[in-house]
Amino acid sequence: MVVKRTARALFSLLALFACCAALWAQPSGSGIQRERRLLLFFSVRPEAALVPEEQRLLYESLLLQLSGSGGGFLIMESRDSEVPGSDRERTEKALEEGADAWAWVEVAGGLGAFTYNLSSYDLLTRKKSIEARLGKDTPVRLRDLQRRLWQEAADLMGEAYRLIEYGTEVTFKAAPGTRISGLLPKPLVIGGSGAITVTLPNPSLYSYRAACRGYYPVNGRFNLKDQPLEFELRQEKADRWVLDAGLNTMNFLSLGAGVFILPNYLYLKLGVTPYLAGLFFRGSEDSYIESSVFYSAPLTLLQLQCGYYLNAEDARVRLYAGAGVGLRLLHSVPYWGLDPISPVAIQLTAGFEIPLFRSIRGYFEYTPLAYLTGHPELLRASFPAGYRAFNYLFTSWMGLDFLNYSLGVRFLL
Amino acid sequence: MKRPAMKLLPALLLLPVMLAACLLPPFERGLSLAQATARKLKLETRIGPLYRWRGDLERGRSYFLPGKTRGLNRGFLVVFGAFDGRVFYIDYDTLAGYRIAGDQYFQIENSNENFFNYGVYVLKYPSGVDDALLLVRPTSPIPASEQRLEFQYVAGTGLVPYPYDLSAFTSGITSGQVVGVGLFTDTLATTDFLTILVNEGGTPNYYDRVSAFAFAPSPGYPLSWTGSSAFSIPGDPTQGFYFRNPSSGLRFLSVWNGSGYANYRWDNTLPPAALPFDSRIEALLSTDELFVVDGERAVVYSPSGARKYRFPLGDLHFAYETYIGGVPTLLFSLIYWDQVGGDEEEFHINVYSLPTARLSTLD
Repeated sequence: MVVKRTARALFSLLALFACCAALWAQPSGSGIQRERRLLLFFSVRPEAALVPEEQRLLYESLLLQLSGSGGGFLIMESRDSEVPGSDRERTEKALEEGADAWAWVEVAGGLGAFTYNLSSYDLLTRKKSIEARLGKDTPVRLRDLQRRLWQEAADLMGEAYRLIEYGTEVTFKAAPGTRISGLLPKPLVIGGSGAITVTLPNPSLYSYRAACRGYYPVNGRFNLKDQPLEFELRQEKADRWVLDAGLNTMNFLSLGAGVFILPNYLYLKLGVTPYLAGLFFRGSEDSYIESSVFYSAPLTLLQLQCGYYLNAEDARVRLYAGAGVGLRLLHSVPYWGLDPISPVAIQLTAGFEIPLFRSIRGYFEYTPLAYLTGHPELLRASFPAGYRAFNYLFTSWMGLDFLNYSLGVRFLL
Repeated sequence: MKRPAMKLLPALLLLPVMLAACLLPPFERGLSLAQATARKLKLETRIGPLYRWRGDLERGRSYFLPGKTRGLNRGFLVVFGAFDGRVFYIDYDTLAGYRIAGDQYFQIENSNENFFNYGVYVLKYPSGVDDALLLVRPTSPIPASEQRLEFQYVAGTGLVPYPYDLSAFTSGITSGQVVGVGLFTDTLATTDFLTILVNEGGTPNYYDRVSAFAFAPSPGYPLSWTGSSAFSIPGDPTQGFYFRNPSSGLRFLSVWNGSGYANYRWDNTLPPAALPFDSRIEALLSTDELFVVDGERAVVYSPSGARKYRFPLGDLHFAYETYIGGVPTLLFSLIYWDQVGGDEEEFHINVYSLPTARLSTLD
């Protein structure tokens, strides 16, 4: 029992060490190189003086030694405990298992005089690559399982099987200029032909992102095996126009119409905020101030805005920033024209939008507004009686409304 | 990093709700309309800051009239409220700055019906150092049957009322009822013309009186009048605002008829005829043009009633026409309140001027 526990503990340590070593030895992944896949057969001659426990210990130490060798091959275990009787049968078995080579280790003798035969066949070159009798006459000790017991076999196989140039062709058809990232260290760029073909290591599960100016990005996944693949990306054209319908500070309707200069990113927008009908909640205890719910002023703010989206067009939350200039149009019976007290306003915008439905998004914008004026004393007086303009910062040339905001829905067309 | 953001999120969402529908853009219709015209005027003086509970001025109509004696930066702040009127005198002291030096109430009888029959005129005070104000209002009791020059206010370091009843003058007007009172600016530095329309009964029943007039502590009213021959006026009005240019002989009467003003024009030869507008004549200008306020805008009519110029007024108030440096000049005033300084009772007054000859530039 003590021997068994010691062996298990040792085996666990070996497994841990082997895993670490295997991770450390992962190939860098050039994209077109891969390890050879060797199907491993293991058998013990009947005359060998090995109990089943010892046989299993030897097999697993062999497996770990070969797997952690860092060579250009991967070890695949045979599903059957029986080793096929002939080279031909072993080759067929390797083909079934998806391997491109096989190796057979046959142990002879016991732990006192440990020898084994190693033979291997390369299905790609169709040649027997290794045929050797290995081992030593000295007794096998426990520490040998970790160190040198299978070192000769690992060396021979390392020499025989190196990384190979190998992969499966994948073709992408997409709009010229599309950049496909996620497959290779550098993004693939679709040329003028509208297609690109690359060879990728297989089998492997790939995910990619295809982005092109003027289109929404396409994200996809595929499982690459031996068969070449072809993808014709369904790229949805970017929206060209945008319509806004919102509320400015929850008081006034605000409308906008814009065009994307750089699709999905850089936009130019015309906005209009009429103050002719709106809400203004105010209670009053002073006899000369009236309580109010509605507000009306013969004033309309016309704005021209330019803005830029800061993250990807298919992001869950899109952030954007912009700046604009606005004209304040006074339209009363006695006077039509720009507001003589503050005709021009400058607006900064920082906002985000979230998708509600297809092509409809909800947005919230923080839009501080600087009302330019040559008459600051009159601008400071331009509020209803009793209104405390706590949301304004006044200077000699402007009044800044630093709490201005808008929210609403955005239609992308 | 995520946690603080998530904690802030409810606060961020709450902010628009808290600020919902309680923020406004900086805009006051009356001020903007005023500035549309004021930017074409010359800013004579900026008065303030002054401090008063805003309700004292805003529970009714209020406006500022610069004085004619002590300079344009002093004058009368007149308030016509629903139940009473008030006169404040705005004074300036080089040490104390601007202040409200006087405050007088006057009764307004049945303001809703007679509101349109009240008038105030700034008087010259040739022998004194004070400013003076003339109040014209309907007689009491109600229903009012005639116009009265009932008070004159003289202001220097304070505000002193001098009550006079024009209908009781012993000189020149010995019978009949005073129907209309008005003031016509004279080129003379010391006086203006007081014009009075009297109904003495009979047929025809109306006569007018003109007198050079300026404030004098005693007797407080004109001693000599120039009269006219009798004439008839359609509708036999009992109270209104009367304007006469003594030089040209043109006469105008504005009468409140319950929904608007009926306006009449006549001269030494032609009988009274109605004018084609229904707003009150504020002044007969030195050019014989009529300055009329129609809601939020001013309209200048020719003597025959043809519209010549029109421009927005909003909160801008036409004060009067006077002579500055020998040039007929229109004076305007604008009262505005500082909403941001933290003191809700702070207000300012701008006084503007425009040579009468340049009225067309306002159109």
